[in-house]
Amino acid sequence: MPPLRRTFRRGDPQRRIRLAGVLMTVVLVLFAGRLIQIQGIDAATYASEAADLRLSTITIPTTRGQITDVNGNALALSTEVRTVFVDPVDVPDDQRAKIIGELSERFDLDRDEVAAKVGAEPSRYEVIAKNVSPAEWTELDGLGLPGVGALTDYKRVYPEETGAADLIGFTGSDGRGLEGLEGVLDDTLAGEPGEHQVEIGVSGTQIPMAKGLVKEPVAGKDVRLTLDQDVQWHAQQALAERAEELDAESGSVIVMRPTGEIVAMADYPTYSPSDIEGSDREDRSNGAVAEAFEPGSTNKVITAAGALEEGLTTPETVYTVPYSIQRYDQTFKDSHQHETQRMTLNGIIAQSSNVGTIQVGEQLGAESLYDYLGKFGFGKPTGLDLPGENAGILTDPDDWWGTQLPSISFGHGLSVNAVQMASVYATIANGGVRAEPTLVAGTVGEDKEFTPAEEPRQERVISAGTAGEIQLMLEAVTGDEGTAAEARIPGYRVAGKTGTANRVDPETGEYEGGGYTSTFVGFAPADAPELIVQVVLHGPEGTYHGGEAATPVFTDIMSFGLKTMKIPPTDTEPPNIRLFEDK
Amino acid sequence: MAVSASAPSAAGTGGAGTARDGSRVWLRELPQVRNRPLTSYYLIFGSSALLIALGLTMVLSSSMVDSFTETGSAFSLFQKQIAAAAVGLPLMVLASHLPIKAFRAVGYPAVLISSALLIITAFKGVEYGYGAVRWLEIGGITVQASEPAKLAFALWGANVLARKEELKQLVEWRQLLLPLLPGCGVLVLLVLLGTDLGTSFVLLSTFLALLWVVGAPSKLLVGMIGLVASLATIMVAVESFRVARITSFLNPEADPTGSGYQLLHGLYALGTGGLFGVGIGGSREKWGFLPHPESDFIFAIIGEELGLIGTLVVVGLFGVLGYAGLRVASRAKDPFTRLAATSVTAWIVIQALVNIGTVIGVLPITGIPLPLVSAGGSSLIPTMAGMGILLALAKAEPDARKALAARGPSRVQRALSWLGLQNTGSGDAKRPGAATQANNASRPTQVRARRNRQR
Repeated sequence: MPPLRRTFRRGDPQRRIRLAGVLMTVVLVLFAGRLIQIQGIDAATYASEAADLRLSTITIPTTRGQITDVNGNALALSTEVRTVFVDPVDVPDDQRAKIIGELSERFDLDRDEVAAKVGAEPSRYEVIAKNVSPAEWTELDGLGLPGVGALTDYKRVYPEETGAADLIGFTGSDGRGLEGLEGVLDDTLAGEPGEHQVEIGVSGTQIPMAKGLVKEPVAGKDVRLTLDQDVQWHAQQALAERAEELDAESGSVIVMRPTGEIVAMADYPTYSPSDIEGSDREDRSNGAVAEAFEPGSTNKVITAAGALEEGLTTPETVYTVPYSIQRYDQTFKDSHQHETQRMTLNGIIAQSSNVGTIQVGEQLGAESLYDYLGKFGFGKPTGLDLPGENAGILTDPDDWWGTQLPSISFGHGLSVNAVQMASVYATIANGGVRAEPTLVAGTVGEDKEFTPAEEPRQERVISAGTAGEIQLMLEAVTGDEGTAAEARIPGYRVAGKTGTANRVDPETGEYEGGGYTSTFVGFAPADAPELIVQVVLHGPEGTYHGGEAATPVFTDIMSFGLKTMKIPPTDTEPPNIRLFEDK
Repeated sequence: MAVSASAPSAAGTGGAGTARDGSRVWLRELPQVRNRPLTSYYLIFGSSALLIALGLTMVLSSSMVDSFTETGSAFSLFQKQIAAAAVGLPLMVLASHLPIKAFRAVGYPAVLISSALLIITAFKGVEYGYGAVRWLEIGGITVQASEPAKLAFALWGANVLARKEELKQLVEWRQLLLPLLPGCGVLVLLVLLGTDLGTSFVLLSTFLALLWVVGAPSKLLVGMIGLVASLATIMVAVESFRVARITSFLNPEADPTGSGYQLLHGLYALGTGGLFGVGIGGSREKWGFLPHPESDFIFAIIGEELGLIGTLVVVGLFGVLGYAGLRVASRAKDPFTRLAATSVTAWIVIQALVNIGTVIGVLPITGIPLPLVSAGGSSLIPTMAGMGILLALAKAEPDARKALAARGPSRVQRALSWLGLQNTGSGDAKRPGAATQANNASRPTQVRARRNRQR
């Protein structure tokens, strides 16, 4: 019998239907179990994996805080701008030509480029123009062009001619601080951008009913500096003028108060903040802290102050000062040929005698001199935290070779930056208490409430008595027999000190061909100091000696500063102090 | 006959019990409710109505995003589905009022027309998407011929076997397999030409279900299952995308952007829904992540928007539908009713299980719609007609017929009276034996129905 002819006994349909029912029920229960597993037990895992795929964070830009001078004048500020974009998918074909025409005309763009962007489907975001003013956008928006939109953004603006470009610095294209105070104060200025979490479909559409987690943007705080815009601008102008006149390589001006607040910090060469691309690294570096130099005679006050404070000498103590003096293999000379003189300490400072200062320095000794240099702030950072700061070189006295004590006592064989040096004179002007230099007065929050910055660290370096004695010596510098009579300002008592040092050529590392560094640092009024001005010029050309290159700039800026800050003369007469042994 | 004895007793206890209040009474009555003549009818009607309503809602919700992106109107696909439902609903009502013999008569022509459509599709059809099935364009409407083919096969198969049983021919294997096996084979082959693996599987399963219920020997069934399995293996091996689908369902995370993508996003949707869902319309996966959210993977969107509650309700509704269909088959005395109820139920339930099994990652992706729920007129209309047929079969249960007759003609029946169908409604009545039997049984039912109305 062929197989298909085989007969069979039929199964019972009722039993088979019941079995089918059981089978179906079993499968359904298994499915239900699997569903409980997916949607109950493992639901969170699947849900979070799915969410990861569609969640996307939109950053809400926030305003960057202003940098202002002490009076609230803006040195750097942010303005609201629009980034105009086109969504090519939303551009209807019949309006394409009109939109291309309008956009290319308004923003003065190449027609073909705009056309390429408008036709860049399936892209949904093509930037047409950045930094568009809100007014310009409002006008464009009024035309109601489909597919054309704008995003709010912020642009950093630096008012022209603040004279503080080197100090303020600038922001990068991402809006974060890059150079100068913009970089240092970035955390305070930047604020916190807000976050808008949205769920995005595959095509890039925002899923409407999905509520995004919103983090409110926190606006950056304004930073109020101790700077005075007018003094800053004048200092920059005066410095640049003189530097160009003398063909100096670089230079800086520091104007500060005895309590450490910096009123102006100018640097030459500088750059225009509207043409950052056209500047080089040298222009942008802030030489006031980035350039270390041998201070020269301005350092003599530390030697004198140390010896006075230690009770080793008095202002009237008489020294025998020849024109030159031999130490080991080196002969140290005064700047001008003179016969051997009987000079007081006052005279040594007023006339800036190297030979006299060496004797005072040897009285003080290497260890003590080193201590006082350190206390006055040498060899360590200024605390301003400005980028590229060079804290200078102050070696340990154990490593000093034979001639180093004499040379350091009058400012050679060590290096400092301009702020460090100015701080020494601020300390003397402040009655011997050194306050760490500061630039930031405080911050202004969104509530316009001013929060003062932390008080700068203060430390007594020398007694008020010693400071007073030094002040008188420095005033004698501008006296008839001093080295800088041209630093006098009519009506005011002015104290100061010239400085000249051979300069190391930054290119060769040798003194040869480096020229010299000319410094003048002083304060006024001499008997109740309010303002310290320090002018440093590196490598001025010409036959100027000592402070002659820098002194006129000092006089100019100091007069302007006193006037601007309304500091009255003290109407007192300088006491007569003895510079030489009574004949 | 056993029928006349069981029906009155069931109705009698039910009538006495409803007078008392409280759920305890209701609970005690549950076994009797199960035995009521119209239980199958109401279960089928209720579950299919709920599934269709849920389906329309979910089709709207899941298709809105894609419709909007493609046509600019969020409702374009939903409108098509509504139109399909508008065609399907009269068909369903009509079918539920047709006499059984009409279904028997329709079998052969339906299979022939389906085969013809499948042949045209195989040669003139348009292919859509990744490894997708072929569609036939008729006057601007795209039709998937494999969908009505399932209904046609279910009716034809039931009719062929019922005839043989009535003729007492079902003693040889030959009678079981001819012409059913070659007929099924041709249909499967044609469907496979359109690369529709899922539909061929449903066809073969319906075929096996028919053999099972008709009482075919286990050896034959095992042989058939073996044949289907080897065929499936060959089909899978031939087309590379099927291999990828098969392997990816075992570990969708292995290739999350490729073969495992759809399944993974289906699971994401289900997981996102959790216990209670994100609410109707709130699906995230429909925003372009999950492919075919309105058709093959609508179950995932149901899970996302309505949660575990929603998915269990859907599974439960298909369970109820399956139970009611098998109940019709089990209570039927006439072979065609039993077989047709079996084949239609098997078709709907197996298709639903395959679709759900695919979405929940226990079966490989085959690409078949969820019956009554998924978008697609080609699927919805034959399925609704199938439901109408199942309702007609449920009403054809001898006791049910009596219970309905006691109520008098319904509004629909009256509306359809011009078709001249009432008289043939109890088509067996022309057979003398059955007529007397029906008359005898109808009187007590009528009396009881009147009593019920008075309460």
